[in-house]
Amino acid sequence: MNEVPTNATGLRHQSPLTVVAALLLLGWLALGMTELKAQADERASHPVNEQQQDGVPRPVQPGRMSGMITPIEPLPFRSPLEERRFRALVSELRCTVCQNESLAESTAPLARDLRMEVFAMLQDGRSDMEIRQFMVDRYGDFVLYRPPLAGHTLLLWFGPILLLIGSLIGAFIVIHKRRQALK
Amino acid sequence: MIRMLVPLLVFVGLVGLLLISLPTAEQRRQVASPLIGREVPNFSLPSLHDPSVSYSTSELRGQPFILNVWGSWCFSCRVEHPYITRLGQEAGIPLVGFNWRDEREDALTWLGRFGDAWTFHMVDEEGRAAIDLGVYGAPETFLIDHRGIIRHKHIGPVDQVSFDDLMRRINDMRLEADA
Repeated sequence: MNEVPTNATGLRHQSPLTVVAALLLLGWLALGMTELKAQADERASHPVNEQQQDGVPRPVQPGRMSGMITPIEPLPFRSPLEERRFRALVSELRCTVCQNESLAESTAPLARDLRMEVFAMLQDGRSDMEIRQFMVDRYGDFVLYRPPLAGHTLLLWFGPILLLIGSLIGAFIVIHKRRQALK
Repeated sequence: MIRMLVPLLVFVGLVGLLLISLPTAEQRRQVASPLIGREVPNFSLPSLHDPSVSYSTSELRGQPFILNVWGSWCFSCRVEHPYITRLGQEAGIPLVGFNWRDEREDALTWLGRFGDAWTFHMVDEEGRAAIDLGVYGAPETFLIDHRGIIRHKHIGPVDQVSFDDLMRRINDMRLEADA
């Protein structure tokens, strides 16, 4: 039973390099997809703009922003925790005018209005979930960088891990077969 | 032989998946409003022509109306202006202007120059009510029926095609209101 299979499987002609290359490609694909989600997570957890650290409350001017260019205006937060929550929320909410920027990054007047709205709701003692729901009620799931877990988003959420498991199984089979073949 | 086809099949499958799931540029631009089919949010805003007077959406209950979001700073609003004027003349229901994040002076000058076919204008200087309406750009045109339900939202300037579409929907709403 130790007869080495010949050309029939084609395995003989595959150098270990080919297998490694195929593995790398699959891994790269899986990583690329998880990266998308990782980016959203990072946006959520990273403080975006640390331009004002002194904690001195500044007056809030809810009027229009003419010629204002700072992405995040200094706001009179009551606690560092509140500020962290604010930054987390505005980084995971999409600016609907610019679409590829978060509320935290955008200088669009509407993004500024929405940031003020988020701030006002925080001061009002509303929970993160309520604030997110407020945005979804008005602008739809589209405003969320982190899409909700629902029937139509299952593939989005679990696709990458399925791909990874699939490619690991595939790699295992190939390696196993090659081992058998070499014996 | 079959083994050699596997990578190709995987590739074709992936391309197919992307083709199905990636939205086109047009779909990306038009964010469907979750407010369609829901009641118009209630807000009260001052009039553009007379700031001492204010209008509220609840006052309009009982008849269908058009709500047109515009601003003097918005170029596309000038583009759609001839069609909005026609809506004001031909729709037979109130055409409410929603002056969004504008300067009163600029807005009045703009209307003076291009013409004012709106029934009246509400002023949302702070953009607070616009958020409740899910407005994310100007122009936007909402159709609200006699029960106060948002029936349709047109995003971007109204042109001949969307004008015809709006008129058809307006006529449907009028028939419903009369029934």
